[in-house]
This record gives sequence, C-alpha cells and structure tokens, in this order.
Amino acid sequence: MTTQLEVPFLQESTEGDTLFPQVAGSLIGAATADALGWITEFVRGVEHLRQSYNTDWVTQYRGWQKTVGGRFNTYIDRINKGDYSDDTQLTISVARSLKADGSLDAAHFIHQELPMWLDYARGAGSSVTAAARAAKRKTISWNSNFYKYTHRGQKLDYRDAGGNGAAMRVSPIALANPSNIENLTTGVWESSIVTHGHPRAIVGGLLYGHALRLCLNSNGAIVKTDFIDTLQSLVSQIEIPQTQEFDDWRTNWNNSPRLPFETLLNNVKQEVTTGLAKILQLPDSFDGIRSYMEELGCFRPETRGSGTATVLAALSIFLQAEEDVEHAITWTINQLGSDTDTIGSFVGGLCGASYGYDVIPHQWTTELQDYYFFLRIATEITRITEERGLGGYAFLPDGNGELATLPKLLELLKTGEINKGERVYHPVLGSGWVESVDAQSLRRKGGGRALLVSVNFDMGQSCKFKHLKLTK
Amino acid sequence: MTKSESPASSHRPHPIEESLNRRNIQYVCHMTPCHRLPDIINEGGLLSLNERRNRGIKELDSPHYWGSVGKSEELADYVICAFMPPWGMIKDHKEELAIILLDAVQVCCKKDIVFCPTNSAYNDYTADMIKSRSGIQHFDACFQNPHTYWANDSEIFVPHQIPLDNFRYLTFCDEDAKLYWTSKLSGFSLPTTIKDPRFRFPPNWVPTDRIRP
Repeated sequence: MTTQLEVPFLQESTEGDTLFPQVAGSLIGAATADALGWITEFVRGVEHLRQSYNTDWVTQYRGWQKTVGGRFNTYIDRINKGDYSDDTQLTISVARSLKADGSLDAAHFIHQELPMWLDYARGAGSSVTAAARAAKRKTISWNSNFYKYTHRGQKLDYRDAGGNGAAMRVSPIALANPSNIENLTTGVWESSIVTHGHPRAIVGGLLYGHALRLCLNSNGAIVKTDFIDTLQSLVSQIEIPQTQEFDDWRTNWNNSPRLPFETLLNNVKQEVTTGLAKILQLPDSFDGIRSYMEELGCFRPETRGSGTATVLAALSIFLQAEEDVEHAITWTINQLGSDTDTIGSFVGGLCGASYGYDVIPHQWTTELQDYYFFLRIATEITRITEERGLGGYAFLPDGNGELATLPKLLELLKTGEINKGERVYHPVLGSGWVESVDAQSLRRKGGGRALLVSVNFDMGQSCKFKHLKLTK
Repeated sequence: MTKSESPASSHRPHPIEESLNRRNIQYVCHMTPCHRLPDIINEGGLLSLNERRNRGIKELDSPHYWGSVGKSEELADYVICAFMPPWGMIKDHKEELAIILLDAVQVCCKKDIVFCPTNSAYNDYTADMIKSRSGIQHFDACFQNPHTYWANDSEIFVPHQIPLDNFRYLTFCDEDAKLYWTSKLSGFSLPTTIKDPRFRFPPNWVPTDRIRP
C-alpha cells in the first residue's frame, strides 16, 4: 500500500535559517578551541610539552590531570578529552542569562549563575573567582560588585581587574543581537562590570562582541580593512551607557584614589585603536602574528591575560586564517606561554561566526563535552534573533516541577552522601544524574577530603562539582 | 484523525493543545533507522511493538534502549516520540537515520497517551508509573517551566500507532540518505527537509553503516 498525502509547502527561508550554522559554529568553534587550548595553557615550553604529552604540537584533545586547590587544599582534577574550561562554562551561564529580546538579565547572572558556578568552576582565573565569591553578598547588585583579590602575590581591587574574563563569555550576547547594536553594547557592559572593573576588560569584551556581530553579518566575506576600520570606529565611540545604574557604578568606581575611570577608558581606547591599526600592517604570515603577540605582551606573565591584548591577538589570527580554521586554532593553542585557551576560544568563535559550523573540524566536535547542548543553545539564540525566542528562560527550570523534588545536589555534596547513578536536582541546572564520584584525601596538614562529583544534567550540560571537607 | 481525537472541533481547546500553543510547539518527533521507512509507509504509520507483531512484521533491530530488562515488553503497546530530538542517542547508531516530524496537537491529544518527564531509560519511572502519567499535569511536567518548549529528554508514549496523516516532515541524516530513501518511498510525498534548526541532524554525525536492501 502506498499513500499520497496532502502536505504543507515548505516555508520560505528565514533569517534564522542562515544564522543558525553561524551561531552554532561560533559557540562550538569557541568551545572546541577552549578545550584544546586548556591542555597547553599551563605548559611552560616545548620541552615541557614533550615531557607532558609526548608531542611538539598539540592538534587533538587529550585526557590530562590538573593539580588544583593551591598549596594547602591540593587535589587532582582529571580532565577528559574534549572537556572545556571556565571560559565556556561562563559563556553558557551568560546564554542562560539572556532575555527573550536578547538583552541581558544581569540580576540572574550575578545572583544565580555566577555564585553557583563556583561549585563547578574549572580553571577559573583569580579575578572571576573573587567576583563570584563577592557576588554571594546579599546586598550586592550587578552594578556594585566591587571586591578585593590577590593575583600573583599582589593585593588588588575590582578596579584593577582588566583580564579577558569578561570578553571570554560575551559571545551569546553578541550572537543574539546581530542587528541590535544597543542591546549588544549594553549587555556586554552589564555582563563585564559584574566581574571586571578595569576598562581593559570592558573594552576587550566590547571589541570581541562587535567583531562577532560583524562576522555574523559578513556572510563569510570579511574585507580586512573594512573590518578593522569599523572596529576602530566602534572603539572610538565607546562610552559608559547613560542610565542611572551606570551613573551609580561610575560614582562608586571613581570613589577611589586613582585616575578617574573616564581617563583610563580613553587611554585604553587609544591603545586598542593603535593595536587595530597595526593588524593591517602585519606581514601576511603567522610569524608576523607571533611578533605582534609579543609586542602586545601576550607572553609576559603579568600581561598575558589582558582583556584587550588577547582579543587583538585573536583578531589578527582570525584575519590571517580565513577559512583554514583548523590551522588557525592549532597555531593559536600552540603559542606556549600565551593564554592559549582564551585566545583560541576567541579565534574559534570568530571563525565559526563567519563561516558556520562546517569549518570546525569534525574530529573535534565529535568529542567535545556537551556538543549537543551547544546545538540546542544555538537554536534558542537563533530564535531570539527572529524575535520568537524565550532567552535563558527556555532552559531554566522553575523549581516547581516534580523533578524539583529529587534529592538536592548541593545538600548531598555537603553531607557527602551521594552515589553514582543517583538522580539529583540543582536550582539552576535542573535534574540530572550522577555519572561519577571521586573522593580524594587533601594533601594538607590536618587532612581533609575533596569530593568531586560529575553530573550529567537533563538540560544537556555536564559539570564536575567539588566540595572540600576540612578536618578540624 | 477521528472526531474523538480532534481537539480543534470542541468549543474550548484541549488543555494539552493550549499548552502546546503557549509553548509554540508545532511538531514532536520520532527518530528511526531509514531502512524502516518503507515498512512504516506501507503499514500506514508508526506502529507499537505489539502492533508490529500482530501484523507479522519482522523485527530487524531494536532501536530503543530501555534501561532495564523487561521494560520493552511492558511498554510494547506504545510508539515513543519526543519533543526535542534525542541527539544523545545517535552516538550509538551507525545506520542512516531519519526524524519524522509529527503534528504535535494531533499526537499529544490522543486518547490514552502518556508522558515521561525524563528519558525512560534513566529508570526514574517504572513502566507502570509511565502508563499512569496521562493528562495535562503530566504533559506539563515534561518541560522545564510553564512557557518553554525545552523538554530535555522527555518522552511521549503514544498507544498503538501514529497514522500517516499525523506526519508532517521527514528530515534525513544527510543528503545521501535523503536521495536514496526518498526514491524508495514513491507515492508518498512529504517535504523532506525542515527549516527549524531544532530538528536538523548534528553536522558532525554521519552514518557508517548504510543498510540498503
């Protein structure tokens, strides 16, 4: 028996049909490069790379171990092939903080995502970690998260936080707003100042966000001079958004015996404009980019994580790469001594946004942690661009469903009574099942225990939670 | 669709139809190996395991992982569908796959349909528990919150069969599979691609075992 049915005609192509491969490509390109670059981030040189991984040039994911917890609470985090780092974790958190119109729900980000991320953070920098701890204060709002922290033995302030921790997570805001410059700009400002106070971090975020927007709108045809000219123009126009919340933030910021924020901002804008101009003068080779990265300070310990230098480096690599994404990413993650995972993530994000997900090598995507979740996030971001999205609300549990009655993960972590295969519930990530439980003795005087619990959430994200129990 | 199944014919929409509209859900899906498609068309739709047995259809494979012994028999009267494509499952498949997109209202408002708010293979719910989960409350429990389409790996258990007139689109894992299998479905016309990216196969996945009789 055969059957003839009357069926609807295919709909005309919509904007989202074109954008989806680019949005997914950007998210997945960034995450794959983050996972690859995380392997080499702490490698001190080629000899160290040979000793650690028996290779001179990393091109594939590897399982590896990371010693974490500092001198006193040391434990081993076993990192699987394709696992991504804090850069991508916080990118997902920002995606969950998007509103239906593509603007940022900064309150959700600071009160829910950021403090809860601390429980499963992997590879986080000092300023973002300090910001997340500070966000636990009850009276804090997204525009008042001023804090103190220590980095490389120096006591620092929120106003000094100029690293790339802000830029590394802004891509969902940019991808959701390819045609809405105001939403993009305000969203990046809001997201950035939750954790970083120095204009170098904020301008880095804006530069990367607008570069992604240009890539999305380029249809894969980037004209280098136009691209740089447009970015220079955008940088020259950067100003603090004109709202009461930002006025309050600026007043608070300037209540400090240091140069006013506006002065520092102008200095950074000048720095970046000059840095962009130099990209156009680079010789047509990756060797030229290596010199440029040295000039930017990408290999100096005190400046390697700069919010502006790392984005400028990534832009220069992206423009050199054209569609050879595999080479661009592998070259980036093998620049030992630089911030390989974050610069790699920027390069992968820009390439994916320009050329779509097909240019991301399949051998990388197949083993990427949470690959299918990124496709689903890309779907929702694409829907936002078509004005039919829900934002982060699409995947956030409301805490009232019957799955919310499952054992509470955060309580189980405290008691230590948690087992492989158990179903659990988390207030932001929802229901999930425990994939593994690893209890390690801490190498500290007096003893203690680190409990590492890997959970696969039904939402699609997987996280490794840590809970330290110190012996009194 | 029979009159009793037609929510649109009553004055007030079926509560599940209201929920589907609120969530902007037009389709639910069923993933199947492509080599099953000719049988599905010839038999007039998707059939439960027991329906296939009753009609003497030879089982070539068991595409669904059930999580525990005996569960496939206990749920043998149902066809399983999902709100979001079960991409996590395709890692275990090597053959060509297709996703059949079904009219969400026609499918979800059927009499005796039941819903499982997780992948049933997790074993949060026994077969008996799943069979008792009918109605709007259990339908809504499949979703993250009251307004979203996002249903994680929730499953829809449709009793006995889903007729061809509930079918809306076919989407294939790749162009090669589409070309070959559409030629084997002559006389049956459905659009064979879908613009909604939710139902596009992941770009990295390719079948390694093209079973073609």
